[in-house]
Amino acid sequence: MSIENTVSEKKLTQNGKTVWSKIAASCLKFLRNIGNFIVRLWNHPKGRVGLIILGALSVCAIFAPIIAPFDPYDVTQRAERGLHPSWEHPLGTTISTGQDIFSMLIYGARVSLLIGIVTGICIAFLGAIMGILSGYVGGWVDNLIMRVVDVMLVIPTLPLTIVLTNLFGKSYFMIVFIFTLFGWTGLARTIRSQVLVLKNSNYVKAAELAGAGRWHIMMKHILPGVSHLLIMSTCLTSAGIMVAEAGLSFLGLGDPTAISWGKMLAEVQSGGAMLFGYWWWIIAPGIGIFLAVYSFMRIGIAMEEIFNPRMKQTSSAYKIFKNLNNQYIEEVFHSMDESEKLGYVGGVNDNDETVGV
Amino acid sequence: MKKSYIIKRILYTVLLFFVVLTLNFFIPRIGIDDPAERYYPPQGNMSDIEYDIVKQATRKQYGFDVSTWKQYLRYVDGLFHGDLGNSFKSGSPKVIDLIAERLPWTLVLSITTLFIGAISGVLIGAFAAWKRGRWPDLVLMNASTITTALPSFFIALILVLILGFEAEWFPAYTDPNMVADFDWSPEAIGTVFYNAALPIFSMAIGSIVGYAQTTRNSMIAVSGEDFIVTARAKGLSSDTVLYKHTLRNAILPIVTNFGMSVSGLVGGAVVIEQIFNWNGMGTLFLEANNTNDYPLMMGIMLFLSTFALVANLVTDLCYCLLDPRVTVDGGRR
Amino acid sequence: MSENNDMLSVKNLKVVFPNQMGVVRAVEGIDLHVKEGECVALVGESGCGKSVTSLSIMKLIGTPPALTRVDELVLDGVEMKDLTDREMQHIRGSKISMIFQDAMTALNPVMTVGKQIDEVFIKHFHMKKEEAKKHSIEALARVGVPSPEQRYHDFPHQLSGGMRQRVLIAMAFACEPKFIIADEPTTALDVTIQAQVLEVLAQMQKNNNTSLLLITHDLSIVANMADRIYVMYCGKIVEESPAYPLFKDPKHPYTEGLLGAIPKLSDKNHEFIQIPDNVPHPMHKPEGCYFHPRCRYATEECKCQMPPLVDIGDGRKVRCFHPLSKGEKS
Repeated sequence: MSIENTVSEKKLTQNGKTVWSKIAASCLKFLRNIGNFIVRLWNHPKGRVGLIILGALSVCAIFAPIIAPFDPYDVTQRAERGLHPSWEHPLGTTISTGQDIFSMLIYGARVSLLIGIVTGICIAFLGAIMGILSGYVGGWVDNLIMRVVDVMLVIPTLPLTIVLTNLFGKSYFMIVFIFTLFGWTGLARTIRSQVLVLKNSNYVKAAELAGAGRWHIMMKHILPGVSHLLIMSTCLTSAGIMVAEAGLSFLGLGDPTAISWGKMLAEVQSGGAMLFGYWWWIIAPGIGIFLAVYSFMRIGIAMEEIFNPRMKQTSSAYKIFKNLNNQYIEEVFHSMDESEKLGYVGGVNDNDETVGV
Repeated sequence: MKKSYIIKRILYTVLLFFVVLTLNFFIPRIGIDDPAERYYPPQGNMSDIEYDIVKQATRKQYGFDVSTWKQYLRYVDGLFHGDLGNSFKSGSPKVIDLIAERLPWTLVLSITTLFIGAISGVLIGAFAAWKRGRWPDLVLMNASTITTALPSFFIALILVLILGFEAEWFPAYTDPNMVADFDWSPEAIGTVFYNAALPIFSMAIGSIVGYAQTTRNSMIAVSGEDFIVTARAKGLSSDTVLYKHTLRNAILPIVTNFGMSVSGLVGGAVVIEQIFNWNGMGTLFLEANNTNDYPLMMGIMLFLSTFALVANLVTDLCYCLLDPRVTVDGGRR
Repeated sequence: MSENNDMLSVKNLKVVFPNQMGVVRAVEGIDLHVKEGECVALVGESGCGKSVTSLSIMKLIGTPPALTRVDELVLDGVEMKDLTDREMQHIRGSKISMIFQDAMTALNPVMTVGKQIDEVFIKHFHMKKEEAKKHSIEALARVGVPSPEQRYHDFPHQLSGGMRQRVLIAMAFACEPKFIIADEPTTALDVTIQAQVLEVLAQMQKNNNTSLLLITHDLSIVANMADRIYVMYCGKIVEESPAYPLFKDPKHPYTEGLLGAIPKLSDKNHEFIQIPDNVPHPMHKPEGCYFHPRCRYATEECKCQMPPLVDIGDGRKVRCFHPLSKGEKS
């Protein structure tokens, strides 16, 4: 009895151990993949610029209360209205409320990045599911999803968003929801066409013949095949969403309690910054939006170039020819002639040498 | 084969129109029991009894007194007689008239932008593709990332600040008398374009760069195709290869892009119209939204979606003419 | 070598592709000559520089991405080495033309096949459209396209693979050029269609007394057509020989390997001779003889010296220190 007990206990702990170690291992693998990925991005010149900007913005967003000299949400921390830039207020204060513009700028990063990233991820999920379902399952599922996409594409997004926020209240949850609802269509189409290619590939057919279930194939074979596309387009959609969010806030349709860059620009217009020529107030939020969107686009483009190296080749050919070492090329041609005459001795390891001057 | 594709495509568009129509009718009613109450809230210090009377009157006037289905059927029926219902505005003007009044002003902005964008964009893109890898190309590639990252309304604000307020070259806000005084005289047309300069310019920057980018990528992709080598192997001159083979194929994505901008022609200028106080569809929609003018909103949305539907249809048919590979069930490539 | 009746003569053609890492040596100084009415095959595995050779003969390879040097490039007595692209335009299509590998991508998808053939007549014979159409339909009929009047109006995607390839052949023979390069003309086709298309090609060549340079990786399709064969490996010619002796008695181990890969029905005991490994990457060619890592006869000498192309009589040349003799063949 007791022996049996201990044995089963042992088994249990062993099982527990294996389960935990499995989870730990897969977590580690996931983290390592992300790490590798960031390293690859870092080694790509365009990706590095994006990562640096994004990192700086994220620091601003996360540590906004520490970095910002004032709390723009706090009604008691208001200065005189319409101050010009000074050491105390690096970007002056607003004309209507006397909030510190620099602090608003830093707090504004929170909204923009959060909405951009969260919506980007939601869209990636929905788009991937819809795209894979419609591409892999096909038949009526495909038909249904693609017809829904057709409808979504003709409904004017901005007016509908305005109607829906009007109906359901202006909150960021709502904005993310609506952007996701209307943003997945393009991604689903892209994923679908990629899935159609994968579906006919030999390894998927082999898996099907081996009797693997649909779900298994979708998760194990199709999803990894489109994951690069997914990550890349998530970056680019996030960038687009940040612009759209800024536009919505600019129209006064964002969350009325939050401080965002789009809303700051709306205040610029309504507060009369133009009239008084407060150019720093106008430029600041614009630069914020620009940097956030730009960093995401850079990362997206860098990923595109990492995943499809062919994209870059055409432009780099000219660079190579511009920096061509003619003497070296002559030597190469000459060495070919020499080898014919004498019987060529020596290595042809061109990869040791560089063509650059 | 082609004919059946065209017929199929037109029938499908009609079907989509009904789906969109239905959605347009029902989405603004989600979670609303009484449209009269929701969209016509009590005004001033009305007593309950007074408000009830107002509500009854409103229901009757706007046809909320019957069941939703009946309202829907009535709406569809009205539509076939060119009637989108009446606005809540004082004097209850017809929605269709309001739209007809504002539409030309939006089209002035967006069509000018579209043509400036498409023509100069395609030319710049072709030039960049020709100078591939050298400085014009690099400038374009960088400009395209930068302008995509800059929202058009931010560009508009900067333009207003610099060209409107500082340099005073162009009006920062639309002249309110422009619409009222318009009489097709050359001076009036001149005034319109003088006022439209900044909005058009701020929208055109993104458009130009977008077309240039598409053209450049498509030209480069096509010029790497095998059939271009075949054409050159036939001994054709480089001009013939360019015009008859490269451009003919490279134009396909540009057509798609053009169709997309046409479908967004009417609804795409909401923010810009708001900044410049331009008297177009966008401001009309925002007015309708602010005053809860629900029939007007529905009407505008329906108009925008129908416009997009027709634009998509025309684009697809053009595509069908340009690309013989479009098949009955295959769509594009 | 008698220069007089050579339709094409290429001397010391070299093509390199610079890239970020260094220089890819695609073609390393090859000599080719093709006589009038002769069918010559250039055989080698993919990546050995065959297609680059054919494009450089047409001068269709641009200077980015490639750098080309050639000592002599004579077509029908005309030195083409220093001709400009404009001058080449008159030669391409009328005196020399090319049949490409994949007719699906080699034909313009948005143009009817007829119009694409018309272009040749309009360019070189300055014909009117109707006249060109008449000639194009004739050209289609000559390559055995059924009901050519209807096919004239078809787009490439509406034709079958074999028909598309025939269209390419019709296009190449349109101006009855004296020299045609066929770059893997049948690789994309089914075996039965392959035979038909080769038949058409051979027929057209005989009828017009055209010189043909047939580029392929498949020795079996060459056997019935070619008069002479060049075997190419890693950008160099390793063996040159009239067709029949080459099949009977290959001199280079690489040729032996290529032949060994063709199954023979007559020989029940025949062993497959396989060439181990793959073609070396053009950036990392081995020292000495490029073939030595894959060669079973390789010696120390092969590892450090590139053997010269030696004339061994009977119009045969071989680049090997230890050419095979008949007895050695297993």
